[in-house]
Amino acid sequence: MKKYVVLLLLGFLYLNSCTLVTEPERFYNDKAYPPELYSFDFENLQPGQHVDGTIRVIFNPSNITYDFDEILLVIDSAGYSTFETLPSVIELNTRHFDEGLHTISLYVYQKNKPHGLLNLLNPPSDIFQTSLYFDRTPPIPVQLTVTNINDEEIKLNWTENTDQTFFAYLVYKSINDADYLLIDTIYHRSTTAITDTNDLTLIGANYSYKVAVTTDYLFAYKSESNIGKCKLGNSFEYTFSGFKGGPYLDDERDLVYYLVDHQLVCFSTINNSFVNKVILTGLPTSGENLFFNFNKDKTKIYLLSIANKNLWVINSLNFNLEKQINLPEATRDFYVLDDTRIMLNNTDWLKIIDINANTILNTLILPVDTWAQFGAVNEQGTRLILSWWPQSVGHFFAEMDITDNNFQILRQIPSDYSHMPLVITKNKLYNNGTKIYDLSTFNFISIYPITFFNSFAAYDDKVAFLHYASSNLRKIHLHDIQNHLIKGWFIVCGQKMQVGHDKVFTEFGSENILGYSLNYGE
Amino acid sequence: MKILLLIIISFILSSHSNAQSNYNNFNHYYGVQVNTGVTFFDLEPLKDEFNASVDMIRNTYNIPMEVQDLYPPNISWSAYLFWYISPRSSIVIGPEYTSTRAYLMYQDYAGTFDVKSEIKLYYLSIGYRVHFFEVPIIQPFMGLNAGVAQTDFEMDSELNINNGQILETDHSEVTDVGYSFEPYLGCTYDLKYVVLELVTAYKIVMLDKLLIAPDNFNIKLGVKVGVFK
Repeated sequence: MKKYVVLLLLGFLYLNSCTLVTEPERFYNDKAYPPELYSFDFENLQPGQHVDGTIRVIFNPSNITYDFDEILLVIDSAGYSTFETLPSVIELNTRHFDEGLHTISLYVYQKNKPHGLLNLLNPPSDIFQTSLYFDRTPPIPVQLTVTNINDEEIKLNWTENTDQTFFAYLVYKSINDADYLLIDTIYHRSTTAITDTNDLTLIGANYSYKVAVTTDYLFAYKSESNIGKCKLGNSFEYTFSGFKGGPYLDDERDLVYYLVDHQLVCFSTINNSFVNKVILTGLPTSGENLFFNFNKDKTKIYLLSIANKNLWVINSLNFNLEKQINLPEATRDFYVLDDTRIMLNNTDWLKIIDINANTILNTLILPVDTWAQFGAVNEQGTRLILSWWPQSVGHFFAEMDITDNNFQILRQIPSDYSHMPLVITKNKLYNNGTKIYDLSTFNFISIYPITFFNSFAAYDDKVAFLHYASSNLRKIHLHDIQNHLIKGWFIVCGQKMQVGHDKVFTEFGSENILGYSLNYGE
Repeated sequence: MKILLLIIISFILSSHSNAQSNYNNFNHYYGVQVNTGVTFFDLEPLKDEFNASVDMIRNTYNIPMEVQDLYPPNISWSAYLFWYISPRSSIVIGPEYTSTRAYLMYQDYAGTFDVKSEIKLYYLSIGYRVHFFEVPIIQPFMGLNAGVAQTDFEMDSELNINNGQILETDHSEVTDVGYSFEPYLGCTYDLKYVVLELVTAYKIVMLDKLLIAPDNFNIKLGVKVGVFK
């Protein structure tokens, strides 16, 4: 027994003869591996290629299959921008850096990096690298040649650009010295010709073109070519000093009227020819607008001036001034009831005037809070449709019997608010240019889904909308009653013309309908 | 350490041949005893902090490093002079020493990261023990030691990435002195010329500066030799 106890003692002492806790071997993590560096070529950009301005490239490497926190774009050794998804569109403004060769790197920061101790330094897992030369040398301008082909096509040719920083050709167009508008962008260096067929509708106008070579996708840096010009057809021009109104259309006789200076001028929409003019005695040469109305068969023209209280009645067949009377209560809105009577609309009262005797035949004071805004006489001359607004109730069309002087309202039909003059043609009522009613039933015929336009004209089951195009250009879109676009064309406004040298243009075409003026729509 | 072992074995063998034969009266002597054993450390705050730091590195940086040793049980040594003031009670006085270590040693292709820590505990105690019975061969007893305690704490860390391109080292060292109390239970076994002793003890250590709670549980095996009265 004692021997066993002694042996137990000796064994215990032996086990305890050395320190139990000894230094272990290092744990070796064989699953960690270092980040990788790749040479990377951007699509359409070769390593060392010269670039300028802002470059825009798509980054979508195929070997990034892991989740990542972010991708850092590094120029040389400085971070530039980050993004968090793939594929990513990289935008880099090279003008933020010095000219010369730069290293472009994309650092992909993986989630749960497998890079062992390097993780402490937050290394990117993959680095994609290339180099580009930031070059601010302006591109050499191309030489442009412009050729008019039969007034229907304009051919543009230019010399090919050979700069390394080439990004695109930008083709600009200006009509009659208006602002240049970009009409085409061509990204192929070898494409050096185009044919313009768009908006070649401004007869007699100068069409100017230039081609710029841009070095970046934002078109911020470019060199422009010479300006190439050509003239399209021959226009009719009528010189005046002050524009007062128009165009006023007589589509039955293919005539268009304008009020300029102190005269009413008339042109043919068939051939642009000058037809006649009427001198309006007493009308100041500038500074006042006139209000224009036809009688029901358009054989007479009624012009009303609020400023000098004058009414002119002009025979539109022989252009004789038949009458000029003074109307002390002249209003902006007036309606021709027949050859002897007109109605003045002051919005809160209506007056029927005998223009032969220059007497007031009857007056209707509208109830308080009821306005009559615009009106139009039907083609038979028997009814006046007024935009009628008893404000506590809503908007109505008020159909008024105008065969006598009693202001008898025959019916009121709920309607929309009228913010533009009413137009009646072909037994249809056009409200605000976009809603067309049958004048007998007041049922909707069609609604134009056009919301933004400056003014409109309606005739012969068509509506022409005037749109803003640029500072001195407007565009007209002509629609049929089924809302199909028939044609579109430009008109020029007068902002860039010198005072005293304004001109009236007319345009004719298959529709023979509209003229336009330098100041129309202003 | 080996030399110490040889000295003890030689001492036992010589005692076996030369000791007096009146072993029944072994309680009536004074002498010396040597203890060796295993100490189990508490050190919970320190261990928790160590583990939390490693967890933070592992979770934040995705580095699969593990603590390899975290202050495990380790050997203890002590030596006492004893003197029986009665057949069932004696007084002991002497020093004691123990230590433990922690290791975290990590390596991958990029470099190494090592953390090494050691805690050393020194005691100088005086105690009183009482035997329950006067049994000739096996005698259970209980006792209480009290004294001063010194704790030395060291920690070294080294981060070496890319063969020293990034080399960060850190060394911290703290020494603290306090008090210790050690109640214990044990029994002796009479081998005629020497007496073996098996003791289980719990040592309470109170320090001022270090908040590492170095309380520990001990199992000790001792050898007693003495001079009979």
